[in-house]
Amino acid sequence: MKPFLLLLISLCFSPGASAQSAPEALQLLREVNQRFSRVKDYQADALIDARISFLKILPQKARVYFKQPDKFRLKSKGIAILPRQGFDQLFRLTANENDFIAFISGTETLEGSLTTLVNVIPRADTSDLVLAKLWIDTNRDLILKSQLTTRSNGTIVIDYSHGSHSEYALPDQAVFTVEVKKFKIPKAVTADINSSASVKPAGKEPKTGKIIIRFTNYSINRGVPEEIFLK
Amino acid sequence: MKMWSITLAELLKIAAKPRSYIGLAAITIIVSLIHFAMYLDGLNYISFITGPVQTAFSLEGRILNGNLVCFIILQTLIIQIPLLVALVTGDLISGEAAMGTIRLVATRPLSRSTLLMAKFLAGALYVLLLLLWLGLLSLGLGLLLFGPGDLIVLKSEEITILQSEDTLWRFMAALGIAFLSLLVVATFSLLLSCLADNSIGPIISTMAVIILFTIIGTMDIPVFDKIKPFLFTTHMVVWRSMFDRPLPMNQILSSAGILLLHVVFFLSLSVYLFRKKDILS
Repeated sequence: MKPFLLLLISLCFSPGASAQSAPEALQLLREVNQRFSRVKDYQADALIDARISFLKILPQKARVYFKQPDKFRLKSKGIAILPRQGFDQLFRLTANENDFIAFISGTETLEGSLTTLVNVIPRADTSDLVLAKLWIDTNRDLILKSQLTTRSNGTIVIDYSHGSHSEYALPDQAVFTVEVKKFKIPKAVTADINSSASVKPAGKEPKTGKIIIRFTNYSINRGVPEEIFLK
Repeated sequence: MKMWSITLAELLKIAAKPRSYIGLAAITIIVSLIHFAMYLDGLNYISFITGPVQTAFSLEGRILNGNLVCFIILQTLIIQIPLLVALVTGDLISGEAAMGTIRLVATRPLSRSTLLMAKFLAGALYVLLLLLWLGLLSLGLGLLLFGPGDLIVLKSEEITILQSEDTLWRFMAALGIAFLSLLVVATFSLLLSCLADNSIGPIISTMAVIILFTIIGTMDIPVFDKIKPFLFTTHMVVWRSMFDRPLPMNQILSSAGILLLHVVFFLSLSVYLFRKKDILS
């Protein structure tokens, strides 16, 4: 019992328990943000491929626009589906070091690259984001993977593939893995009469869906007109 | 007498009856009302029905467009249109019996089978006119007011998003299948019309059968699932399958075949009953 009490007391008075970020973790995030801060604005072509069990949609071409600090717009000829969270939430949170607590929880190898796992916890109680785990390639200062735990939509995992624009931390591909609930709306609303209910046994349906976005034709720091962001 | 001239005479009879315009007027009013409502408050309606998706995902692009409004109108009216059809086709024989003109018509130098077929063809042309008016008004006015765009097809358990340029032929094919579906209603009410001497009976009976079958089709009760394949209303909604991807050709062809069999069966039975009918009025 005595060693357990000693451990408890030492944990209570440890630096982590006083809600301070670990300097190494902050430094890593600063380096990642610094890389991205070179981008004043960008636009790129995007091909959005949604693979969600209840949704049938062909890959959709779109154009994405971004301007610092947080202006983002996607324009497509047709209807495109995007994850509600995960695009700018992380950069918004980590932009101000007073808004979060960060600490390193280990290392992991992702597709041959050694990454440092950084946990980010927002200080605000009202934040939709509860926890962000970031797998950061310390050699290139790039986030290779992030896992966002949100109050509203569960966990979102984003896998990034970097290529020609890695110096700006802009990915060539982002794969969003999102939790999907069973989709069901009343037949009276959809007028979906005379169809039988799904015979799929409970628990057999996929619990996650993927949205794969491939970015090409980046145009970085060449200016994006303000009108683009007006809806 | 040529079949066409008899059919034309029957068409003129349909045109002369005020009730024939109820369907056209009802379609015009309902479609215009839906367009008006969607123009004013369509985005709220769309966000209500896409709410379950929009909690986790955001839909970008022009969601409210002419194709979507047309689809909403079609699926709203699919229950009512058969009733409008029955209003005219349920009256084709029994209406003449009630007025006492059937005896006179039957004395003309043509067989009863020819007369019935002419009435059927006239009824079919009326159905075609109703559908063309519905298609023109809902899609034409929809595109004019809201413009083109990708079509979100909402089902109770899935969503299909079709690209704008992939929708026109689907609407045309859907209207073709809807025509076949409405022919089933037309021949069914014609059959009941052969059995009655007043119009109310066949019209109300057709409506009652359609409402009953539709209620069974709407309820998700396992015992009803066994009955559903035997109800013609189950196959009447196969027009919606034209908006599936991939196209369920087997299901479409089998339902279309079943609908065609219903038309042939109801029409043959109508001919048989009309030929045997004692005309006493």
